[in-house]
Amino acid sequence: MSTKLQRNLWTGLWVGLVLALEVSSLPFLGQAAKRELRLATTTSTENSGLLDVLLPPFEEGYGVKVKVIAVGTGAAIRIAKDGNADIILVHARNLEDEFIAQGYGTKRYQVMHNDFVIVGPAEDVAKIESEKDVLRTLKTIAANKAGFVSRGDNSGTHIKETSLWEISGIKPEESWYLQSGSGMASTLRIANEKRAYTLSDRGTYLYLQKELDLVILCEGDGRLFNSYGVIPVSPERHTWVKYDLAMKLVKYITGKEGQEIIGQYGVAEFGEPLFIPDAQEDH
Amino acid sequence: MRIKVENLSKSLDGKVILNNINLKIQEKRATCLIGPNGAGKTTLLRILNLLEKPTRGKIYYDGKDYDEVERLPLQRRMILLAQEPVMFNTSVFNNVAYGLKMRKKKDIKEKVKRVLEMVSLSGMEDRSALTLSGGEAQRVALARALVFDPEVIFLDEPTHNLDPISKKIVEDLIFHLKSESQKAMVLSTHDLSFAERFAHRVHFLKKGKIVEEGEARRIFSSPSSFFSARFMGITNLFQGKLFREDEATFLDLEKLRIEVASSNQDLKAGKNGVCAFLRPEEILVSTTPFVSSARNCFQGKITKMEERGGLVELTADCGISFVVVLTKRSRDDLNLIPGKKVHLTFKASAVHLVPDNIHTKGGECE
Amino acid sequence: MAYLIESLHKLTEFASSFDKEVLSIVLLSFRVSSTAVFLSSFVSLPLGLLLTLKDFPGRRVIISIVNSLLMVPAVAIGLIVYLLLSRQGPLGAVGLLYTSWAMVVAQALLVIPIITSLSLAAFQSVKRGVRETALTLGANLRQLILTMFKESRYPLLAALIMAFARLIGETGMTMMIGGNIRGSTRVMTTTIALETMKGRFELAIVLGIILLVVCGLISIPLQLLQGAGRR
Repeated sequence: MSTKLQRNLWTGLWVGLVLALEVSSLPFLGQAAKRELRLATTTSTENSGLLDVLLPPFEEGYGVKVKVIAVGTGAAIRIAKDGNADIILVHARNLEDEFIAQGYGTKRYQVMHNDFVIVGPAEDVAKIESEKDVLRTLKTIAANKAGFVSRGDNSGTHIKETSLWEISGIKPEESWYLQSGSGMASTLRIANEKRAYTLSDRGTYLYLQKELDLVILCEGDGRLFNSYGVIPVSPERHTWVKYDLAMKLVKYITGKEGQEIIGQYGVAEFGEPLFIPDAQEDH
Repeated sequence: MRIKVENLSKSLDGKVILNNINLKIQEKRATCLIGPNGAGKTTLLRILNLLEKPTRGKIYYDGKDYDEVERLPLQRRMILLAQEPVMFNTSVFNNVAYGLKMRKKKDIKEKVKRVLEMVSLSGMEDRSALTLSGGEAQRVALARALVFDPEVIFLDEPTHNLDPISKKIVEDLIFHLKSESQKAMVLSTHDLSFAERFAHRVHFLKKGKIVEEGEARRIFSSPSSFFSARFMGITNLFQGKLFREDEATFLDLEKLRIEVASSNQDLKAGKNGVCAFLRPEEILVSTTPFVSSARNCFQGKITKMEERGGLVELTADCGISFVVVLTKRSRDDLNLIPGKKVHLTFKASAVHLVPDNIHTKGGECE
Repeated sequence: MAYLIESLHKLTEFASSFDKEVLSIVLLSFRVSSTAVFLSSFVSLPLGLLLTLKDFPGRRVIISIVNSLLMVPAVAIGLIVYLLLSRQGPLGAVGLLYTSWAMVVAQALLVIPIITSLSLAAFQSVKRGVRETALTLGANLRQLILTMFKESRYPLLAALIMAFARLIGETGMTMMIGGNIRGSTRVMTTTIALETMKGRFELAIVLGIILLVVCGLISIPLQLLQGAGRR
C-alpha cells in the first residue's frame, strides 16, 4: 500500500472516529438538562464508597443526578461558600458551625458518625499495643520518636489530628513527623511503606485493610469521634442553589431509607458497618 | 497598446532595484528583457504582474492606471510564469485546471486536454504534480498559464535549467504563440541567441536601468553601449584615442592603428579615449594579401581555432588579437591551421564606435 | 508486580465484559479533547493564516504573544478558568464549573497557542510559492484561502493530531475544572490519578494501558502526515 494511501486511510479513520464521537455525544448534551444536585464532600467520605451505595436510590427515585465533588474538608466548605455546590456533607463540627454562623448554610442535620483510629505497623515499635486513651498514645509515639504520617491537607481528619496534638500539648518534630498532603488512602499507604503510625477514619482503613500491614492500636476514645453533618447552602446567600432539591436529599439521608443503607454499609464486607447512622428525628 | 510603463522605480530597504523604467508592451509583439543577474528583470515582471508594487511611477493597462482599477479582473487577464514554477500538491489535471476553476469556466476537461497536448504531456492528467521532473513541471506551468487564454504572458527565464527536450518543447511553443496568437509576450532571458531569434523588441537592463532598447535586429548587430556589446559576447573590443590624419580618422591602439568611419562629433569626444568594437563576422580572412576597398588590412598569425557548431572561431594575433568567425568550409578551403600566417581585412565602417564613451572610467571601457 | 498481573486480568475481563464505567471514561476523554481541538481550530487556523498572509502593524507582536502563551502551564490556565467560572467569578452565572463543557473550554484555551503556532509554521512552509502562484492564476481572496488550506492540509492535520495528543494526556487542569466527578467529569487521566491516590491500582493500570494504546495509535497517522512534506 502506498504511503499516500496509508496516510489518507489513517487520517480518514481518525477524522471519522472523532466526528463519530462528536455526533454520538450530542445526545449527552441533552442529558445535561436532567436535574442536577451538587454535593461537596470530603475525599475520605467518597473513598469509603458509601455514596456509591447511598445515592443511587435517591437519584433514581427523584430523577436527579447527584454530582459529587470530593475534595478536602476546607476545600469543600470553600466551594460551598462560593456557591459552586448546593449542599455539603462533611465532618468538621467547628467549621460547620462557622459555615452556618456566617450565613452560608441554613441548618446542620446530623447524619452519621464513625470514628478515627490510630493505626500503626504490626511490629508496633512504640509498643502501644491496645490503647484506649488517644492522648497517651500520642505521647508514647512522640516519646519514642516513632514515625507518624499526617495528612497535612486541611481535611477533617487533619484538623482532628492537629487538635489532638494540641490537647496533648505535644508539638510534633520534623524528625519523625511527616506530612503527606494527600488523601486518606494515600496517607495510609505511605504509613504502610514507612512503617509509621497515622490517624485514619475507620472506614478508609477497613477498606484498605487487606492491602496494608497496619493494625488498629488505639480506638474507642471519645475524642476520636467523627460526626458527619449535611448542610444545604443558603439560597438567601446564593440565589441559584437548588435548595428544594437539597432538602429532598437531606430528608432522604436522614430518613429511614437512607439511614438503613448507612447502617448496612460495610457489614457484608468487613463484618461491621463503616458508619453509625444517627440522624435526629426533628425536622 | 497593452501595457505602458512610465517612470517606474522600485527600491527595497534603501537599495534601488529599478530606476526610472519606461517601456511599452504591445499586443501580438514579443518583448525581451535581457541583462545580467540582479539587473531587476524579475522584479519588473513581478511588478507588471501585480505581485509587487512600484515605489514610484505608473503602469497603464489598455490605458487604465494600475492603481485605479480593481485588482482581480486585471490580474486575470495576464499571467506570469516564474523561473521556478510551484506545483500545487495535487494532480497535474488540477494544477492545469486551476486558472479555469478560479474563473469558473466550463469545459475544463477538454481545455486541459488540449493544452497538455500543446506541451507534449498528454495523458499525464492523473500524475501527482510533485513527482514531475523540472522540465515537466515547467511545461505543466506553461500549460497552466495558457489554459485560460491570457492577453499578456510574462515569462521569467522560461528555458533556464531545462533538459534539452523540455527546452525545445517550451521554445517551440513560445514561438508558436508569438506567431499564432494575439498575445503580448514579455520574456526575460540570458539566452541571447534565443532573444535574438524571438524578440521584436529588446530592453537591456543593467542595475535597474534600461541601458539599451530597440528593435532586436538593430540591438544585436550594433549595440550602442560597450556594456551591451560585451554582455552579448561580442569580442574584438578596443579602446584608444581617436585622431585625424589626412582626412581620415584613426583609432590609435598603440600596436597598430585602425581606420574608422566617424563624424566630427565622435572625433571631438574621442580625443580623450573611446571604445570600439568589431563583429567577428565582419572580418575577412585570407592567406594572401587582399586588395580591396576596405581600409584595414593586417597581417598576423593564427593563435587559436575553435569550432562552434557549423562555424569556426578563429583568433589571430596581428599585434593585437582579433576574433574572426567563418564557416568550416572556408577554413578547409583555405587550409587554416593554428600558427599559419593570415591576412585580416575589414572596412572602416565595420568598426562600431560606442557613443557612450563617457563611460570610460579611469580609462577603462566598461 | 501482583498489580500488573491483576490488571492484565482485569483488562481481559473488561474486554469481554465491556465495563460500562471504563467505556464512558474513555469516551469522555475523547469527546472532551476532540471537541476542544475542534473548537479551538476555529480560532487558531484562521489566526495562523492571517498572520501568514497579511503583514500588518503588530503582527510580530501577536506572533511573540502566541509563542509566549505556549509557555503557560496548564495549571495556570486551569486556575484562571476556575476563577472565571466559579459562581464568585464573572462568568459564574453560566454555571459551567465542574461540567465537561468547562473542561472543553479550558482545554481549548490551552491548545489555541499550540495549534496557532503549528498552523503558522504549516502555512509559512507553503506560503511564498503557493500564495503567489494562486494569485497569479487569478484566485480571489476566498479561493486563495481555500488553496492555502488545501496545500497545507497534511501539516495542518498533523497539528490537530498533536494538539489532541497533548490534551488527551492533560490531567491537573482538567481535574481542577471538572472536579473529577464520578459519572460526569472523569476522564482517563484524572481517573488514573484518582485511583492511584486511592490505592486502587488495577483500574488505574487498565486505563493507563488504554491511554498508551491510544497514544501509540495516534502516532501512526501523525508520522505519516509529518513525512508528507512538499518536495
